Amino acid sequence: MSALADTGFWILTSLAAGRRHGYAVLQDVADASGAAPKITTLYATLERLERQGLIRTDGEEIVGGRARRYFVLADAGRERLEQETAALENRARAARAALSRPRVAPATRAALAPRLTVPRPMTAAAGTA
Amino acid sequence: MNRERAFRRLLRWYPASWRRAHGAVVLGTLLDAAEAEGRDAPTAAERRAAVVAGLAHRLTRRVAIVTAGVALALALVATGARLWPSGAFVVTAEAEGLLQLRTNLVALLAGLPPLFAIVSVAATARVRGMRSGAALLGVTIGAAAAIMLAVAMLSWSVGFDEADAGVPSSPLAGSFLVLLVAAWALGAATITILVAEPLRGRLRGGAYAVAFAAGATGWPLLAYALLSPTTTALVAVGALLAAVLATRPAAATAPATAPPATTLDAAPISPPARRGVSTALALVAAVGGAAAVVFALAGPMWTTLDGTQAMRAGIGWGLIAAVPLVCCLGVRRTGALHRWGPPALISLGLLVLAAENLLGAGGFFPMLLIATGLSAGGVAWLVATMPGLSGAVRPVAAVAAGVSVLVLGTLLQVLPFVLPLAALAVAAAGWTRPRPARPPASVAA
Repeated sequence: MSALADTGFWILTSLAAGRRHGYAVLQDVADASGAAPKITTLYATLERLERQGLIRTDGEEIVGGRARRYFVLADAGRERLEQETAALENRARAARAALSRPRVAPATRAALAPRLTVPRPMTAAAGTA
Repeated sequence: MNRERAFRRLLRWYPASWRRAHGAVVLGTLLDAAEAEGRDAPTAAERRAAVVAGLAHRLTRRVAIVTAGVALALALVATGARLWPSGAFVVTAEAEGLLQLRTNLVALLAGLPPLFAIVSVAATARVRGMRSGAALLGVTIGAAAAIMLAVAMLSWSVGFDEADAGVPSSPLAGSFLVLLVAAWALGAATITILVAEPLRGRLRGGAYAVAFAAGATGWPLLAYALLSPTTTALVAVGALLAAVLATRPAAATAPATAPPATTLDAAPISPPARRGVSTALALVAAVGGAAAVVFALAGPMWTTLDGTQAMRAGIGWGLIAAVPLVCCLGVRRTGALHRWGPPALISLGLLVLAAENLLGAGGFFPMLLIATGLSAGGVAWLVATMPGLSGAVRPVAAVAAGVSVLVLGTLLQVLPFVLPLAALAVAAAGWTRPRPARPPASVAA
């Protein structure tokens, strides 16, 4: 399974909170990710997610003379977002655990270095010389 | 409203079908965003994005299928024009002119199919979710590559004629190498773009390295294949299959979670007796075919036949030896007409060609044409009645298989030389295939 592209991830996240129309999804994505996608990109991604069965369209309305199409998260989309989130949590937990360990002093790190890289016969020869 | 008109104009880059389905909604969103930012006109970025996405959306499923179909039709016409025996013309001054016209027509027809095939492949990729910018870039550079390849070939042909006539070479002929390198670079870039895009999510940065390697090595092979209208027809068949199968609304969606049932899965498990018959037939074909090959190559040492006569006799007997192998196709199937119809038709084709080789019955070219037609019909029938093919796939796969056989018809003469190995493979598969599963109770015990 390939990872969700960024825009796809944020769209699913927006729709996980409930039914939204395109512009509301755009605002959610902009708020959550810090960058608004282009509207053409947003709709291309919405189309793709719909074809993949991750989201569904859920009616259209005319509000103030403007057409609005609503989207909802499909079951497959919810499952996909769950999986993606679990994977991200695993990564985050691993990184957090590594970061929270006491920092290793430079001298110790130098001593560890050969073990972290490919063993070099030269080191042993240099040690005995 | 002025603002609305400015945004509505942007959407004209999209095809009408897309505008009908999504135009009003996207327009509404564009207007919502503009209003929120206090704008009356689209931003430069919005304009650029609309041009790129709009043009790319014109690469639809229909475009993918139609361009592949046109490529296939042109390649077949070019193949036909080339195969048509030159002796059919009485050599008069007029006929000379006709022949020259035909040569030019074949050259032109051979140049066009790659162009259409590339547009088809890019359209298929776009419908499958390739990003708009990449799809447009692929089409543009790919078209340039196809044109450059055609010009390079024209340059080679002109240079050949000039050298033949002892005339100093013209600038077009002189720049053959430059044109060839340009065609290679553009072609490699096209393949790089088309391969990198689907790999992007999986391989990240590595995708471009893999794609470039594929492009740099794959293009010379592809370009070589595109030089002949016959192999171009096969490339077009591939593009057509990809267009029809990969852009189906269901297929474009589903990230292949469950692979479609293969014929083997769907076919009823043949009882051991049937498998035995099939293996025996394959063994007969392998032994007979091997004997025929040996005779084709070594016949002159034992008989009074010369090399050509022995070769023809060997090919003739080899084609007859293929009949039991073809019958294996029927043994594995069920039903009556659809079971024995296809193998009978294919066998008839092989026997016609065998008769021509052994007896020299009625002129090689017409007999080859009849044999190819019969075999192509049999193969198309076989595919059309294969289990496990869904709706629209079935006729397309059948036609594609039939056309492939038609295109590769001349290879029927080489068939006897690969037959013994193919027959051995079938026999071995029959032997080693696991026995049908026992009832679960005995497994649990």
